[in-house]
Amino acid sequence: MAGYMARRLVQAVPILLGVAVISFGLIYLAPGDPIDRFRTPTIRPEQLEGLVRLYGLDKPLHEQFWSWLSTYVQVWRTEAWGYSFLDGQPVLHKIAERLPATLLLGGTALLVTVAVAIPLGILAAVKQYSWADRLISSLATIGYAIPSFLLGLYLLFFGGVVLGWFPLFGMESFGREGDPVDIAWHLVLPVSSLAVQQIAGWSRYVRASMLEVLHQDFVRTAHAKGLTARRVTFKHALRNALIPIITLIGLTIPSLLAGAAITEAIFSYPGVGQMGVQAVTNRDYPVVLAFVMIGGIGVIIGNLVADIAYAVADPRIKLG
Amino acid sequence: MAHLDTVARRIGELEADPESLDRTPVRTYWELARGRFLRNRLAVAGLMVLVLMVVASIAIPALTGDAWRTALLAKVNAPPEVGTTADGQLVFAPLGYSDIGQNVLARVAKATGTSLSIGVAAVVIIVVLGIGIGSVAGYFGGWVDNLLMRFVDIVLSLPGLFIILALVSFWGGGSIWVIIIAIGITGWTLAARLVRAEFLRLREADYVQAARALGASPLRIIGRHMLPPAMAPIIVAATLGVADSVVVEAALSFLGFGISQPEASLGNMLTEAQTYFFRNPWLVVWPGLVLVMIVMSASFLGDGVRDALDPRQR
Amino acid sequence: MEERTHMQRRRWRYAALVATVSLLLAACGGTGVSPSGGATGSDSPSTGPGSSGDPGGASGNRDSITWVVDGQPGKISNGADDDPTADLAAFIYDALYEYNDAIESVPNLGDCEPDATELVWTCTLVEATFHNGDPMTAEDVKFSYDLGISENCTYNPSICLSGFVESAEVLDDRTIQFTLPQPYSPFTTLILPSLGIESQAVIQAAYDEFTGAAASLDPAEVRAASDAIAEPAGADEPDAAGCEAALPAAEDLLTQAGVELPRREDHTFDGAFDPCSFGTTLSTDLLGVANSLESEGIDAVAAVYSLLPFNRDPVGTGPYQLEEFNVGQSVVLTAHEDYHDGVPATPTMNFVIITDLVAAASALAAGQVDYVEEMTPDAFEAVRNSDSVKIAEYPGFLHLELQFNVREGRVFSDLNLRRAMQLCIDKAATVDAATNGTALPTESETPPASWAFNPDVQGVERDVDAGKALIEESGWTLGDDGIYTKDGAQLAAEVLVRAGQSDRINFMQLFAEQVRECGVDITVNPADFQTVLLPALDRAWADDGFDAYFGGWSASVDPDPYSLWHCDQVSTEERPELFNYIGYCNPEVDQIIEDGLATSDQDERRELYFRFQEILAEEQPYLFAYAPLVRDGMHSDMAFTDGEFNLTSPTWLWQRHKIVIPES
Repeated sequence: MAGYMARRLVQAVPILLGVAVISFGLIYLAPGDPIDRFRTPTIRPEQLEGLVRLYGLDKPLHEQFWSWLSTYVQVWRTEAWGYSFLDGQPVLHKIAERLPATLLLGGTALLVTVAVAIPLGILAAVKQYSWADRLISSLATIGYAIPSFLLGLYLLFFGGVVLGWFPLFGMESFGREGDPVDIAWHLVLPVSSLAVQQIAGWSRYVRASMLEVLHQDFVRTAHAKGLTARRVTFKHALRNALIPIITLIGLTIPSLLAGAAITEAIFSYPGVGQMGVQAVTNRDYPVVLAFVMIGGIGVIIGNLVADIAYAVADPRIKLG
Repeated sequence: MAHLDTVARRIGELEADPESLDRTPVRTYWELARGRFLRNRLAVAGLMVLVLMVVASIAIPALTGDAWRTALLAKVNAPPEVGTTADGQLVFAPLGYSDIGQNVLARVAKATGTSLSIGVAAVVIIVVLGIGIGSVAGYFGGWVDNLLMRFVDIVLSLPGLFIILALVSFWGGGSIWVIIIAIGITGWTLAARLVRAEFLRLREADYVQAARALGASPLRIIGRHMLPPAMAPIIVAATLGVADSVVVEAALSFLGFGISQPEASLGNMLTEAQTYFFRNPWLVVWPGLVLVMIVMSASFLGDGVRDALDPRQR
Repeated sequence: MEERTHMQRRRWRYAALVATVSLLLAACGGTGVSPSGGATGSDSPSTGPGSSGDPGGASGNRDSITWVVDGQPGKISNGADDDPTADLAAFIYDALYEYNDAIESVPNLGDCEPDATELVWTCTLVEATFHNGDPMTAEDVKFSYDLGISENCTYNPSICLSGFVESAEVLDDRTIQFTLPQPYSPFTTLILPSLGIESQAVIQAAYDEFTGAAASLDPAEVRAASDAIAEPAGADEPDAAGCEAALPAAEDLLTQAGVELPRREDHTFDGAFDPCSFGTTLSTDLLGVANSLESEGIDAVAAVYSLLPFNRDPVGTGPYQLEEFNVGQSVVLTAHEDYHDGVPATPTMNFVIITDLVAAASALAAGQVDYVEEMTPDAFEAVRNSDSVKIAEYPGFLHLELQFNVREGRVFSDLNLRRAMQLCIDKAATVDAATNGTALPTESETPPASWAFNPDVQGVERDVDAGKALIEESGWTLGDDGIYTKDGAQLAAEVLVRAGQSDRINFMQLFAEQVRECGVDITVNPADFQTVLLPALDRAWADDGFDAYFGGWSASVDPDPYSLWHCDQVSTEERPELFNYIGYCNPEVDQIIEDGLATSDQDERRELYFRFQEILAEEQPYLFAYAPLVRDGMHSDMAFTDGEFNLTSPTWLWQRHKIVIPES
């Protein structure tokens, strides 16, 4: 087990490196260069040259990359990830400020998805072909077809503007910072817009997985042994059906982070995603770079966690 | 080698009794698949809706000319009207007029066309890249496969939508091609994996081994022998990919990064609708409805194609 | 124009972000924003009418008002160059004149009369007291103006007076006399209301402290230290080691002189401290010190004015004085009880920093704050339906118009054509549709609330036939496709618009369709501002220069139109950056402009500028389109003690000592 974890960790390193290469390349090739913002009318050409040297812009590409990377990994130093072009704040600080909000949004969406989709999926599977099953499947089909940004837009309009039941932006009301009820109220619309599509997809998956397990031999054996249906369902079938769900969680995390960017933009939610979108608009390259790296790291961690959880949950897996 | 005996035996039987030849009509794989597909009513409905949309997105702009773009002051936020004017001009605006007097139906049709063409073009890139990388990985296996799959992992780890945003914003300048390429180069990973999976399976097949033994070039083997049977999952992925790409493009334009005024896209129609919501509330409905219909139809179609081509994969 | 420099934005945005975060964190930590008194609306402590600490006796009014600024204020002095600081400075400093709500410059601390030549202005001062109790005298006024006249002026460049004002002389304690080198009407409309009067004693004391500390410094040594950095920093290959080596000496000298050192963080890029960049700032400061040491009198003070520490503790004659300056959180001002125009009606003014306008608007709607300025449409949505908020809505100084390139040979050099374009559109309806009702159709560049606004300059009703008649008068004939032609060429033109501005693009699209009915083929070309539009404007003089551009300007408070309309401001190949890039040149207009600058009699100027607006309306070099409405939100009961605000004027906020919010 430890060996498996170690192996997976080691495998993650080249992927992380690849993400770094692509991120660096993206920013490097972007129009403009890091010293553009110093090109005021008063600066002298010699000073610009000095800055070029300071940034090592005259060095060969791979040298620039390695020197950038070696600074970047030193995340304990505040200046390691550079300073925002927009407000001069250390990028690491900006991310640290906003990451909790995004995690709150994504985490809540994930919880809601799990809490709603799994029971729905199980219900649909256990009562296969009943009206409940058909209803749930139809709702899932419709829900899956609505892109989350569209849903977010409509929810904002009808829930916020037309009905006025929910706030139009942000995470907290002025003067009520830190109030959990207030925060929850702000989260309702963005979480819903993220979760609906996930729930739709998940419940179909849960249903399918559950069905597959229910029809397997060992379940019939349990029935034959006289165990009650309920016991069979929850004790045996569910545990096995849930194994693929774990991988699903691992796969959902990155799309929550990324999908959150648009949702955060629509709802003016003060998370990392909104900061990223603003950074692209404002050509705030250090923040853009940081966002891509964060996204990459998030996915890799998510996959790692999913793989490990999968291995833990299913002893049949050969960890070879 | 066992089946050569069977064949020999069967030939002997036929020579002995020609009447024993089994004459039941043999249906090809494709005929069977088509039959299964046609029985799936949802899939057929999806296909018809999509076809209808494509036709409408070409026909309506062709018939209405510049109406999607022409800003008529007299018709600002005007309600729907269908009929003829006093001097015999045909007026066909069942969805009313936009905030600057454009025929909403014409504009939605044009926007659908734009969004769909971007989606399809992006999918072409996805399929080409997916086949290219997936087939090489699946055919050669070994370290080539490993390397390419690591590359897939890397691309998958990147926040795709955000990268598209950045690419379009930095290099875009409103160009439709940048959008297409951006969506294409971030979306090929699924296709590649599907192709690779099929190829890994197929390379063990006898006829492939035979072809290799005969000295055929890898390109020929891949192209002629392995690709056709592997198309099934690709077609499914492509169908779903179109819907996905359309949604991505709409999100881009909605945020202001993709297609911008005065061009029409489902996304930027939503942005305008948002600003003018209090004057013309129905504007938000039509682009969104079209978007949902595209996704749903493509989804049914994709499911139907998948079930038809490979009923095992339920 | 509208944009401010990137550096300035960056600097105070950074601080603003720190401010906002600190604000939120502080609030989370339970310490609360805690402005005093009733700033939290319904949560106000239950003080009855005639609440404590309400000296003015206007019982029944709240004893504090909370204003929102969208950034961290800097040093509050005449060197201020950003909005938050300027907002605060308006409460703390008074100038000789001020703007009333008709955008007129009217006497405040003084009343000035010119002589016959308009070169000598004699001003009689009122009795006023500084926040520290000292009386204001003509000496203080002279001192404040001298700092601006000095060649070493470090005020905000708009009030550096060298070249516009020659001298300021004290005639007696209550009288001061200004001498101008040539008549200059913006003296009364731009300079007198903008230069805050400071206490000579306070600044002198700060300067004396500086000289005391710097006395031992040898200016030559200071210059040498400055050069010691400038040399390695300015070399072909900036020598970081050389800069670094020269830093200690420089820092030492500045510390000795009592000058606050710049922050090292401001000169750290991507984790690496840049000694040469830091050093360059030190070098400039050292030069200021050296200049000061080598200069005498007022020039010495002027040179080092921006480095003196008094800016953190400003002393003015304005209605409010600085009580607390909590960096990143809030600023508290308390009433100056000896204010020359009476005790200010509200004892305390609080300023909170909220960078997100939408959040600020929401706070306003909730009664947490009392004022939010310049709300964006999103922010406006948050307060639109609130009963507790009222809006000052006025066309701002920004105006948008279709600018025709009127040089010879361009299609729009023809007056008939331009007039026809005006006749071919229904301006009001087009503006309303294009801007979703957020802008006012305009016929001139002067804001309607200005004293120089000519109300008789009217627009025209849409009249397609009249328009076509004018076009045909110029020899065009209608083609089969409905577009006019002449000599084989179609009446077609391309209009450049800034991409991404949907109200402008909407306007042009509606415009193009309407003029098509007049037989004109307009192509709307949205283009990127930086990479396409600016270079195109710079090439207006060339043969391939643009036909028309739909864009805008931000008008000045003073109606003088020199830089946009005078013949010698027409851009050329040698000077492409001039603002009169459309190439408009009219001798009658030139005369008006020159006369308008030479007199400061407002009535005379008004007549001149009325005529100017008439001429522009006749000649239509700009087809004025609209002015976006600016919206300031405030508590619905906020008003003067003696009347309502003029909510349709850009300068509705004045007479700050009379502003109250009655206790509800």
